[in-house]
Amino acid sequence: MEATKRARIMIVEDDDDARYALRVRLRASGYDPVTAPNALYAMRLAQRESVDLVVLDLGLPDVDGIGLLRELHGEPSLANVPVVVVTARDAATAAVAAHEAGAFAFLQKPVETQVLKETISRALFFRRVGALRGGVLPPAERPAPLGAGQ
Amino acid sequence: MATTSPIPHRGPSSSPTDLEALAPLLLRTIGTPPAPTVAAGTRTKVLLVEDNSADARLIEIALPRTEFEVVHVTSLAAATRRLELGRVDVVLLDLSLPDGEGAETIAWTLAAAPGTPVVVLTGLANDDVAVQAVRVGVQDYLVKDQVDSELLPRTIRYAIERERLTAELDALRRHQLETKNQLLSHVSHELRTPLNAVYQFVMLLIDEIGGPLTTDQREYLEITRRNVTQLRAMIGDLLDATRLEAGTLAVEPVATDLGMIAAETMQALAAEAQVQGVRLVTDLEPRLTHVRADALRLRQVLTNLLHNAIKFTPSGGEVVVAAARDPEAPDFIRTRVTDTGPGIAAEALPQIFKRFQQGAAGGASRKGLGLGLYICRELVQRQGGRIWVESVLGQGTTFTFTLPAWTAPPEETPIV
Repeated sequence: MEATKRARIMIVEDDDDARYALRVRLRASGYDPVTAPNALYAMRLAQRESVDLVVLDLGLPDVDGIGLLRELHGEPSLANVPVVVVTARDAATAAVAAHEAGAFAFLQKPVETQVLKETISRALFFRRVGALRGGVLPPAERPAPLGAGQ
Repeated sequence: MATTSPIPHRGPSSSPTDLEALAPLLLRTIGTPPAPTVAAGTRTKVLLVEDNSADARLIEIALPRTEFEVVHVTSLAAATRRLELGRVDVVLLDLSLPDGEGAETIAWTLAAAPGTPVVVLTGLANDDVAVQAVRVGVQDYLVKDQVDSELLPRTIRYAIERERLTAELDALRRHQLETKNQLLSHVSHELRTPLNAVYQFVMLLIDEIGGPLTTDQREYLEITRRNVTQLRAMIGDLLDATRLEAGTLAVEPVATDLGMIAAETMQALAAEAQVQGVRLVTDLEPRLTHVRADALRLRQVLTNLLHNAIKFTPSGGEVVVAAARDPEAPDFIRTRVTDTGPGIAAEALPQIFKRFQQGAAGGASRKGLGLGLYICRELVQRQGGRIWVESVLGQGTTFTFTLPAWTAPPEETPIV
């Protein structure tokens, strides 16, 4: 994990229990998780605190997750923050939409812990070395949209 | 409602058997407006397709003008033109026309007038033709000799009513199917959320994030995990089957590396095979061409077939995944999953791809919804291939499916 400061990860997930489980999981993995149950709260949190990465559940009650993804990227403090999208939705269409909206990666629920950890540490690595443009990898380095789901 | 009738001009009637009944027709042919008591448009509009003018006249006589408005044409071509102009309530169709004969006439008319009841008129009491006609969707048939002013109107009324009921039933059935699919889709989604939470917390415990576990605790949690995983797979199948039925499952075929998907799938199922004591073997043609498939869906098909094969193969047996160009259709790649399990009885084979069919093979464990092979078949077909099964009791089972070989347009390169 990070030798100096623990990376702060914002979890945006509407289901209380799923959010709780993910928070416990990420803390155990050495991260500093903060949580938001909806898009509005997520935007406020992002403006108040510095966040290194967002894990975003696409099935949010107040706005479309893809819309929130666009808004998050429009926020100056979050412009280069990678967003890992997690969803139980139909994979193909959601993955394409997420990528077009600038998601760093797209994972289908239920996400295996190992896959989530690898994706997060990869995203944080790219962020640290300054390889992200607007939160995403330049096209040449992007993984295939469906690769990470299984 | 147009009052101009395309009834061709005909000469004086040769043998008017019933002048009184003939009167309305005569009046119409000389252009008298409809009877004032009946508003135009409320009468039943009958398209009479009949080239024999004497027969046509008899039919028109049998239809009271107060209730029926007859539009008479003498050929299929004219009938088609008339149907394009607008709806009629019923088509009375003679089976031998200058431009159509028998079954062909019926098929043509049914296609030209969807949703409009068709009543067939035959010259003789030929039951074969009549039965055939009704089977393909004609509402009724009449033998011309027997047509009278009581039978014909009644037949038409019933035909219209039956057609209406059929359409109503059809709409109702479609609506119910839609409602059922929506319900299933919604329920599946709602079931997933708590199940995911259960899974996540079980995994937190298994990973000892909640503290160290005793051997027993670990075993109990592993059993919980296995059952949750199985339940999750069943809900996934239910959702997929629902989407396949509703046609809303996204299948997007692109250039896909079948060999790689096969290797990944086998790796994913390696642990399962090991527990079962089954050997997994691959037999892929060297330099196998890419296929045109949706990687996710191809993986799903292979996973289902392999999972079944492993499940039904006794310890010490083997499961072989082979892929090669289809010897019978060189534009396709053929993939086979062969096991050394108990085989499937011949009488069970035709049922095997149907929904909710549990494998009739020997063996005790019958878990699952019986949707796996149905999903496989639908997914393979949606990717342009076909799937079949061969099995002999006691000698194992082979599932074979084909997928189109990828022929790359010059500017495109395979992406998966």
